[in-house]
Amino acid sequence: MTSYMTYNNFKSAIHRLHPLTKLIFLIFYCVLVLVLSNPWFSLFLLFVIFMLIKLAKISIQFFLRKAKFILLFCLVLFVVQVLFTQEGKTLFSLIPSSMPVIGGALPITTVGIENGVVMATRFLSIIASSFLFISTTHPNTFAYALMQLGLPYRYGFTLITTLRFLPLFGSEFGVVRRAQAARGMKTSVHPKKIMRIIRLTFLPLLVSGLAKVDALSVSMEGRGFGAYKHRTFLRKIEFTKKDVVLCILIPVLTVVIIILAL
Amino acid sequence: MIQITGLSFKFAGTSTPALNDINLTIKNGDFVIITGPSGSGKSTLCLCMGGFIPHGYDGDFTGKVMINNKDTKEHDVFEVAREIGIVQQDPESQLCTLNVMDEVAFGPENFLLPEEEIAERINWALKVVGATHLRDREASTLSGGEKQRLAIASILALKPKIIILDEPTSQLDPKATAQIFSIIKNLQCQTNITIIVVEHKLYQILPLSSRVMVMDKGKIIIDSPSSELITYQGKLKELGVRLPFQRRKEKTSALNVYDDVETTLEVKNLFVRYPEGNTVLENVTFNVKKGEIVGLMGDNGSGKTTLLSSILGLNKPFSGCIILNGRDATKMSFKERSRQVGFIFQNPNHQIFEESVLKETMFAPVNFGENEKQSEEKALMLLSAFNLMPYKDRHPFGLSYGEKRRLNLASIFIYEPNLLLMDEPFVGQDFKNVQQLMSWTKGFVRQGKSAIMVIHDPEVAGMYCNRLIFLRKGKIIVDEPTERAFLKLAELGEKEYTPQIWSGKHDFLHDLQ
Repeated sequence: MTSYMTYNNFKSAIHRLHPLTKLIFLIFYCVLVLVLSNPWFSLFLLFVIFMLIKLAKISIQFFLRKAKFILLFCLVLFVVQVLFTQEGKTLFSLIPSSMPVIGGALPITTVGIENGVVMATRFLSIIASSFLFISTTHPNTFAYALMQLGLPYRYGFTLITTLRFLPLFGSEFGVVRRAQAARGMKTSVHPKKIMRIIRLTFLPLLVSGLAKVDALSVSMEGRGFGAYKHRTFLRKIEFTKKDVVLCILIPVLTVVIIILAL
Repeated sequence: MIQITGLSFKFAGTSTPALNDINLTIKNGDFVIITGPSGSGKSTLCLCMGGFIPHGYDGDFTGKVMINNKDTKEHDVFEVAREIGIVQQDPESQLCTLNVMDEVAFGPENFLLPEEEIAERINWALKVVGATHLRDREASTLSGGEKQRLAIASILALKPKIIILDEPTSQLDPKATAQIFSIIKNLQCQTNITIIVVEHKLYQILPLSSRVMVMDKGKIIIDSPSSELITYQGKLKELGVRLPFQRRKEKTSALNVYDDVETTLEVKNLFVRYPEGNTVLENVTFNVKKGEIVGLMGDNGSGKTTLLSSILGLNKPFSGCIILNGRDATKMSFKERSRQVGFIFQNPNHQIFEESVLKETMFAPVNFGENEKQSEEKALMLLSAFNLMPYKDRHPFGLSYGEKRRLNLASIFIYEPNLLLMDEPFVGQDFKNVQQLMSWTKGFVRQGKSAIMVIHDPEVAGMYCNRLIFLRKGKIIVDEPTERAFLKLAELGEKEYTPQIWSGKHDFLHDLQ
């Protein structure tokens, strides 16, 4: 199984930012993308995120390769908008007006193209910015950062232990499927049999999962988890001057842009 | 100090008590071994000492457990945890963070220790377990042995006065096992911590310990100074507890194999590579004759499981030839091939799918499209042979470990494969279960069939295997009849894989001549 979009370990300026700064950027960036409906702005915002991806030492081609299906979906969005928007100035019709009866149908209009660009870039921008966040922020760092900012540590560690155990369940799932194949169960999924396959696979995983949960809770409680409302954190996620500046600048800039644009 | 008086515990929903009137005192600085058959209540006793019972489990709890004068019933688990720490069997499921440093820091952080002290304790604990170099690693990249060392360090970082290690080596290969035992020895020498080890393999730690307790059916039936354990030899043998000073005469009790016997399996020049490109198996060539039980040994990660999977056809060989009963297996359909080869996985739970014992036994024949009526008759016969008849309509997950293993065998024997592959079938099992499983396997190969099993325990291998194949980094470096294989392994410096009862190697050499 290849991971789709995950954290990578290039050490760039963006990687070094505090996760909260990146989260704030992500939120305000998405607000901007959704609020602004000018195609030039949309394209500009997409350009900005591509530059940032580059700054994070990730090649744009790498992102585009990973996002193949998303690009396809953007294209569909664009085409649908262009075909079915009737407003605005008609540039030409897909079906020439000389044709009888249906002539002049499916006009291509300026508004159609504009809407198409906005929709497609909006979608791509949101995906690209999320990709940037995920690939530059280690989930572990993110969880520790949130806990240090006041998220109750129980929630933070729920995230961390989930991250720890997900790959384990992945590999156990593989073992169970192999064990089924070894005793002649067909691996191809027939729609009629799907419920049976789910039942036969889910049960062994559940049983071994429950045993793991038992051991985990003994291990965590046995080390004082939940004893006090707070805990110390040895791992310090640095909030630098850069972060302070960005955390102020990003919201201010967003508001200014929105006011100017509206 | 641990004082337990009149302790009994029955898990909710069960009829027999897991612990029955336990009374014991363990003094500070003692080194105690607790042993006994699987399901005799050893782990339950550990959970009681840690205060997890009665706090975290439902059931009937009577009696009193005092840990350094704290009554576990009146103190929260975390209060008890300041005194006593538990390291568990499974190295995977007791780690809860993603990094080595976070993991060791986890306990001290929860107890609100100052940062400088946590940092100091991390350094100290990692040093004790010899894992300073792992400090910045991600937990998922560690080997099983390294994970277990990390688990010990993360308990030590709390500086408990008592540490319990509940079968700490059952999932590890012999090398990692030896390392864990030497860490335990260091602990004993360098600290005055009280050590309690639950273990089946006594030979390495018995000399370190001062006292041994043997449990059976929820009771402590033997409580003896380690040096006097030998006086209980008869009783221990009855329980299936293996003693280090017990010399076994019936070394290789499997069938004698002659050179002219036909082969069940031929593997020729097998190469297997992972998609990422690294080679797992390199030029592996060997035969398995009818009537043979072949032991497959090697460190974890040396390619043993991959080899078994390749024989069944679960992963495609990069190149090479696999011949089953004279026919090229790579040209068979997977269905045909899987009918010839039965596979026992490491964890019995991973290969039990159905909702009743009978259905589970019939799982393969149904998949192979065989006559249901006939299969059912056959299944019932097998179930009564395996003493599983009383459970036939019950859910398999209620069975004990030994019963589950028997069910695994029954559900494979029903389609009469010619070759049985077993991937570490004995993990965490007592000797009685091992004997039982092996006697079935012997019966199986006597019908002119063969078995290959991944095995870590040299003594069990010495008792039951005709031949040993040893893998090192994907290559076969030893393929010899068992006793000669041990000699060769000793020469190659793999002493963890040779039986301890035979060391005093002179004696062993003498035996051979």
